[in-house]
Amino acid sequence: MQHKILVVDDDADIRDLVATKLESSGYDVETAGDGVTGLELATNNSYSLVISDVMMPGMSGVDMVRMMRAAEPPVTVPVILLTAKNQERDIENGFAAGITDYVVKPFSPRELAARVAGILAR
Amino acid sequence: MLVSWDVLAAAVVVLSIACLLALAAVVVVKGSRHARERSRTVHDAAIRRRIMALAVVEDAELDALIDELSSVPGAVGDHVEQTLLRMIPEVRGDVREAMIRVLAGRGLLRRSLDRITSRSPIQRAAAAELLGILGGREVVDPLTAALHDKSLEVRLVAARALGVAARPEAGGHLVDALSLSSGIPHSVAATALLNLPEQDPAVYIEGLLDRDPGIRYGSAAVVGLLLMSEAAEALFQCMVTEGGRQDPSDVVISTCARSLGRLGYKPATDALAELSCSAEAPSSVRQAAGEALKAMPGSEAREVRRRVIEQADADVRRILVDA
Repeated sequence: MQHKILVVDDDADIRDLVATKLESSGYDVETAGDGVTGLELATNNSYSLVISDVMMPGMSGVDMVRMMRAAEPPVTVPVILLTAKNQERDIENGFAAGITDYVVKPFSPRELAARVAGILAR
Repeated sequence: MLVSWDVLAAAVVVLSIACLLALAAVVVVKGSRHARERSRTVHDAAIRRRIMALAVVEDAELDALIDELSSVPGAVGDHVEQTLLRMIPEVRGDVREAMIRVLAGRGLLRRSLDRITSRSPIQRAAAAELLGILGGREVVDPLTAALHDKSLEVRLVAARALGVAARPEAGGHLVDALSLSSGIPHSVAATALLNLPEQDPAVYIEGLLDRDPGIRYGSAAVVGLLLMSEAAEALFQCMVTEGGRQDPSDVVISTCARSLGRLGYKPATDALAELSCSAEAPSSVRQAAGEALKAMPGSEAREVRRRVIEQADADVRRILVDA
């Protein structure tokens, strides 16, 4: 089965870069430009993994994950958070909200793809 | 006072013309913004997939792709540069290296090296920022020279850029930039120093002996933040009176104490205890020593804290009671 991944980031350059990298690794990728659209897609579709930025207009990545986990039924898909350097509070809040892992920006697309593969292999 | 109909009519005409002009300006601004967005979309369509391919292309094809993106001409070429400059701060590793090679191939390094000596401080600051992003050995000398630029803005940008370029050989120059006379805020130079890899402790040990209190203060703070244990003895010497060389500045002594606490330098425990209870030391120094004592690991430090709590003033006691 081909894994489907949702990438949520308001920065179109980074969204496209991550999507391109994951598509080249053989994943089916969908994207959203903000947390509200990301939440809508995540609750109405079945993804193997969600990758989300933290700081986004409207709804942050952490709030999006919190609402995914609080949905009825809960969306239990693994989530990787893309967070800025020195934002320990975001990471702490992210884990409290139910993220699976985090990657600090500036990030290596190669390392991100390796983490995705590791989570999907579990 | 009565106003004639002629004057009123003239005022209405003037106001109407002003409104029309404002409306026309809004239309022009919006139109040019739409035109820019349209041209960006067109350029994006032309080149975006090739830029993103930098993240996925096989090693054997990478050189060809870099050459291709390096030689894209005109407005699309400018778009390549702008897109890469937006993306580079967000990525690291081989993708970042490839992006930087494209920018260097497009002549951005050469252009920035020329512009950093431009007559315009705006141009010099922009060039310094770009040189930081491009990195490499060749940007260190022009950026360290820019730390002495006559424009404070350029000096600030150069300090930040040296942190972004992250070359260890910039360490000594950034320590010098901590001086009070540089005008560069300590936080900027210190943050840049924290970014540098493989730093030489001797630079900071020398900094702790400098005549400029700004350099001594900054060196003491950065040593603690970098957990540079090789400089712990030098910090200790700046802090103690007997048999040592106590710093003349209370701010430096406080900073040395805090850094010794961060480092968990056990030989400083007794001196910190003495300082935290000293009647001669100002309250800020006593509290800094108390905070350092609180951070000290081990059962001996716990015993010393218990002793200090009985002797110290209320502020130091409050710090230590939580430990």
